Amino acid sequence: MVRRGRLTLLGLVVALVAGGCARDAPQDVLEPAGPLAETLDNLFMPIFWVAVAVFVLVEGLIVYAVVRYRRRRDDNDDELPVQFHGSTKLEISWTILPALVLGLVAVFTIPVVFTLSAEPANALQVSVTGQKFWWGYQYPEGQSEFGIEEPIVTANELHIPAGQPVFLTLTSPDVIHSFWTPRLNGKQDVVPGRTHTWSLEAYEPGVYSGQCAEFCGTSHANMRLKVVAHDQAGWEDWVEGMQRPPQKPLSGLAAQGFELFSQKGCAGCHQVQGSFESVAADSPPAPDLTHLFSRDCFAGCIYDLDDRNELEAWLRDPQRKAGSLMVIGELTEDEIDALYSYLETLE
Amino acid sequence: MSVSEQTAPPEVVADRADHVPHDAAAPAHHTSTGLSNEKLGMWLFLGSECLLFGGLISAFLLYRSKDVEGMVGPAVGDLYDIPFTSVSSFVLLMSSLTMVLSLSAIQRADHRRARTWLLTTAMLGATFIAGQVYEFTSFVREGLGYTTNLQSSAFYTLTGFHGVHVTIGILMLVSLFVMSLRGRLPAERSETVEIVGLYWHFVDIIWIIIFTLVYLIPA
Amino acid sequence: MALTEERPPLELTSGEEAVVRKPLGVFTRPSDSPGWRSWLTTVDHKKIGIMYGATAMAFFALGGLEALLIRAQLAQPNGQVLDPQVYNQLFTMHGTTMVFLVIMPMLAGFANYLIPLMIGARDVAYPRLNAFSYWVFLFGGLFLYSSFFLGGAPDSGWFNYAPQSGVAYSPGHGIDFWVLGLQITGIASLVGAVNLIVTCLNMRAPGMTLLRMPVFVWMALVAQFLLLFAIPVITVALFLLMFDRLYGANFFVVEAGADPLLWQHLFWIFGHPEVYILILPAFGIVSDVIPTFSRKPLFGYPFMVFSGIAIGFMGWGVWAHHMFASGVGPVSVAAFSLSTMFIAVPTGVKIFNWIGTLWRGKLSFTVAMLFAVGLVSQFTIGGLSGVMHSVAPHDTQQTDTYFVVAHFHYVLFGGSMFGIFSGIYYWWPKIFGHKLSERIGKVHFWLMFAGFNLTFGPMHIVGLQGMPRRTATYPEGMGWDLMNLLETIGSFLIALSFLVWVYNVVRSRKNPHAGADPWDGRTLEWATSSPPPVHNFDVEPTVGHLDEWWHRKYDEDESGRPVRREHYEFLSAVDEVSLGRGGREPQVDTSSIHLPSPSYWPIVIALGLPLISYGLLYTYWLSALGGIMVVGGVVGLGLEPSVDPEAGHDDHGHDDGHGPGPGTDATGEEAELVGVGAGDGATASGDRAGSGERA
Repeated sequence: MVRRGRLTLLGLVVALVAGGCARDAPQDVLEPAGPLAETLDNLFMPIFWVAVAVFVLVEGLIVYAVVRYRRRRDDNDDELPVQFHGSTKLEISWTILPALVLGLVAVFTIPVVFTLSAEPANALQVSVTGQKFWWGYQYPEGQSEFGIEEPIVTANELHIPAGQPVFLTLTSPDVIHSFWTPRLNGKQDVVPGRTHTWSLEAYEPGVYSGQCAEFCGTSHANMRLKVVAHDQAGWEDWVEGMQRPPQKPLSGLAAQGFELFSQKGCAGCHQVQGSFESVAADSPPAPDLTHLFSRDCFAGCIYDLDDRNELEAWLRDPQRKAGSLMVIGELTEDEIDALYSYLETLE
Repeated sequence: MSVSEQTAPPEVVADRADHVPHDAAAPAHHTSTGLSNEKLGMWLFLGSECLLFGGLISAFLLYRSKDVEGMVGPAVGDLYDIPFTSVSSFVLLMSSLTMVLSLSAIQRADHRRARTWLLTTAMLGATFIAGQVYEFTSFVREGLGYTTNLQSSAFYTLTGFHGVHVTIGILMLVSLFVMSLRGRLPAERSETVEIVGLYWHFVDIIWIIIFTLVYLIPA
Repeated sequence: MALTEERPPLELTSGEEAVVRKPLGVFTRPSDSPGWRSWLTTVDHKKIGIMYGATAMAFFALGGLEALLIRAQLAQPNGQVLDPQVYNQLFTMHGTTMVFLVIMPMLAGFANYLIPLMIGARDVAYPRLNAFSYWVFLFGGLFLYSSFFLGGAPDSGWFNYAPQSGVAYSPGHGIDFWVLGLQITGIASLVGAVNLIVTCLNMRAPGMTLLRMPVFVWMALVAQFLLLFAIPVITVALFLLMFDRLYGANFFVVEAGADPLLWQHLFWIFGHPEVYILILPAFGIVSDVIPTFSRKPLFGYPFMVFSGIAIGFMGWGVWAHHMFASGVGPVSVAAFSLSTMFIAVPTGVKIFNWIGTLWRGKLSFTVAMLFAVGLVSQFTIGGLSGVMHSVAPHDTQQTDTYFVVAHFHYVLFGGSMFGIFSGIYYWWPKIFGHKLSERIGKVHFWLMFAGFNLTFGPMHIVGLQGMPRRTATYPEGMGWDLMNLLETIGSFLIALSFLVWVYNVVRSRKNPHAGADPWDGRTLEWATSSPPPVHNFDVEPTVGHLDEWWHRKYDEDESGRPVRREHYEFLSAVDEVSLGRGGREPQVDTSSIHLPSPSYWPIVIALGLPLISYGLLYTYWLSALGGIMVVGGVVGLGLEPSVDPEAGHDDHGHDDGHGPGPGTDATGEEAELVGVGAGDGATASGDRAGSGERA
């Protein structure tokens, strides 16, 4: 009766896992949305069921032994069981059998290690920079098959064409981060001083959630990202929009904001193409804002850009995201309005 | 499944009870392996030390072979004075010989000679350390400080750890010398010298490895 | 010289005194020598074992408190209970505490207390170094925890990856405390490892061949060998990081060309054997508990021993499976993936052998047995999720998520901690003379079992749903809310079960004396009184069998069924409770048994180490003071005879003359190990005073 709870637990676990898959979990690794993640999933499911089988076998044996051989209340304690010391045959079989099962798992696993590390053909190339506490992306120029003539720089949201392989080159200027979009592929650490590569591919257009998976300091939890996969038309629109620098505002509140952007030192870290380009383009210390309002989220993808209050609150106090490296002096509400108006023009 | 073999004859138990219990400290008490606790402990400790030096040597080799763009300061390999270090290595090597001579003397109860060799060993070790100090200062004069670059940190850490081990060895040798002077190192206690000798030879062997990998084999 | 004069005279326990011994609490001494002070100077492996256990349990409460705060923060999305910086300190200290200050010392405590008793020895090989190990561990732990009051605890995780742990990204002293604190506890582990290995190899009673040693002794021995070779590796890593942080070295400075993966390799070359250091002795505990309560010998004893050794060897070849996502290249990944899969084989052998032991036994479900079977069933879950990690490509989905958190808690809590609690309930009557309450204990077990599964079971699910570890918060809408709430509820259930255990301990002082052999045990520790006399056995056993004590109590009939012998003899004078059913006690004179005398030096040397460490961080004067304490203490220890010649014996002169040859006494001088020439024999009393003045 004692171990029945354990069987119930197993049932519960299986039910919860199944239930978990069905529920809305945007980072569910068991819901692959691309060929790479699906390869991983295809590897995982067999071993998962093998594990379940072993679990049922072992726990079943334990439950049986516990129920069948437990001491009863009316037992004579002087009657002792036969003193078995072991059986070499059994020992050999439960050494060899698991080894064979594991060997089989290995046969399926090892080739995948090598195929996944190869660079896919005709892939979109993107350089990814992980840093405290946001992700930056640069699409190198001259990828005409993807419509990219001029380099594209953006942050937090990685835009890709659906159905096409994407090859990432990852670096970090500070500490170790880990790039992870669970539904598209596993994670790849980004070790400073090294250059890593990683592939992504999405079957369908959509937004895929991800985040930094290696502890990187105070705001590690807030270093999130999105991968936005477009259909062909959407991709072309996006590329075109990104390659068109925004207009400098000439009058009104936005023009005031434009002035404030350099007065308050924003331009010291943030780049805006055509307007503020003094920052080193290779490793800008803060996200490129050229097309800020083409994105849905900001500050490590934890705040919604559609909600004006979020951005205003951010300008009031960047430390609302603990550990944020953004420094900005105290701003009046008017200044915040002006800055917002300017930023809003960066579509 | 096999059934257990028969138990021991009960008289073994009864028998022992009639005897005076075994004195844990009685001279007749042998250890299970025949090695004394002290010697076995030293062997284990040296086994552990192997991994300490293994880790330090690996770190050095990794960082020496690394091509750092725009490295500050000179490379360690450009500063080696191989003839000088060869001589100091030879001195350390010879100290192992004198260590053996001192052990053999003390086993023969030739205490005067044992003391001479103990002191010689310590002096040779000190000469080696002096050489290391000279080497370090000349490196620093050439512009290679501890914090200068990757290689220098790894080099000084590795050789410094070895130097500290030699120094501890010298202290142990001097302690043995003083004990012997005061008549506390009779021939029956020669194992103490043997154990210190084990440590000394170990430190020596480590140096041979360091000298070969760090100095002689080029990056 | 005050230090040595205050030492209590060597305690001698004659057989008659042992008979009237009464049950003991934790902090009273088993004789009339001066109270709590004797604990500071003791070199008795049993007292040291108890101190290890008590200290580790105090740290368990602290580490658990940290876990509760973490779970409170994560109970809901966007939790506001803790500041992220505090959260990071807490999860760092939780991991560090549970690994280095709870499970390791807890198992060291069991090993200390039990190994000499189980192999029929009077003490460990180096009793004073044993005391030294304990004090170093205690002061190292306190040093680490003092960081909370000195500017903040370490906050880069127990794995402390470079370069996040460098001065550039962690400018406070927190990481320094971590580095130096672990250096200190590392010394304790290393000295303890040498001590216990020599004890196992050298101090066995006549006839106690290696393959007659109880499985606990074996597994502890393998773990000590792992420590012996793993500690220097992390020592190297810690030194390099310390030199980086304190003296400006470049080992992990990426700008100077350093490779952060050096840290990961060094850390995990230590870290993976460490996992087996944490689990193997727990395996040993249940391998002794299950046979006792199944009333059958362990199934496949030699296979249990050799699988443990195999795990010990293979444990060195799997470290890079912690780095499958670090970019070590496909060849390394493939190799470590294979080795990780096959280390599951010897582990599986153990599980099947435990089931084989249960099979056709007569199982009585005492609390110790419940925890032991709990280990077998729960560790299996952790082992299976471990096999899933070995599928390297998919491990890039699992690593650094709560799936891994679930995995290693099933291994370390469902494995190690269940084993430890099994051992606590099993050996409590041996150590303190009375049992813990079985009734309260069952409440404890079931609460802990339920709480454990409720806490860590759902972590499998949130892990696969993509929740990363070490995140101070998580947003809404990720599908993780319900599971996290359940986990938090579970963690408070665990806390409740711990309180039940504490209540059980406090209440148990009133329990009746349990006798020498309350469980009908199989191994030698049950053949002496409860608690054992200072010298462990009045009569040194001569061993003829595996499960020697069982064979002294039982004969076997033709069908292999045991038949109780009419008479058998305990190895020490025991109380009347134990003497029913044919038990006899030896009539011997124990007054000539010599044991090492208490010493102040271990605690003095150990106290010097944190002083040196504080000095490195604040002012070198403290380091100088600490250095003087260490050097003076080592000299004092070296010159002090291990058996006090003033302790009132007539026949202590044996120390002169025969010397520490192969025939050295069991408790001989250990001075060589700590760097001074050999300690001298009984003639050194005058010099001891002299050295004391120098110190």
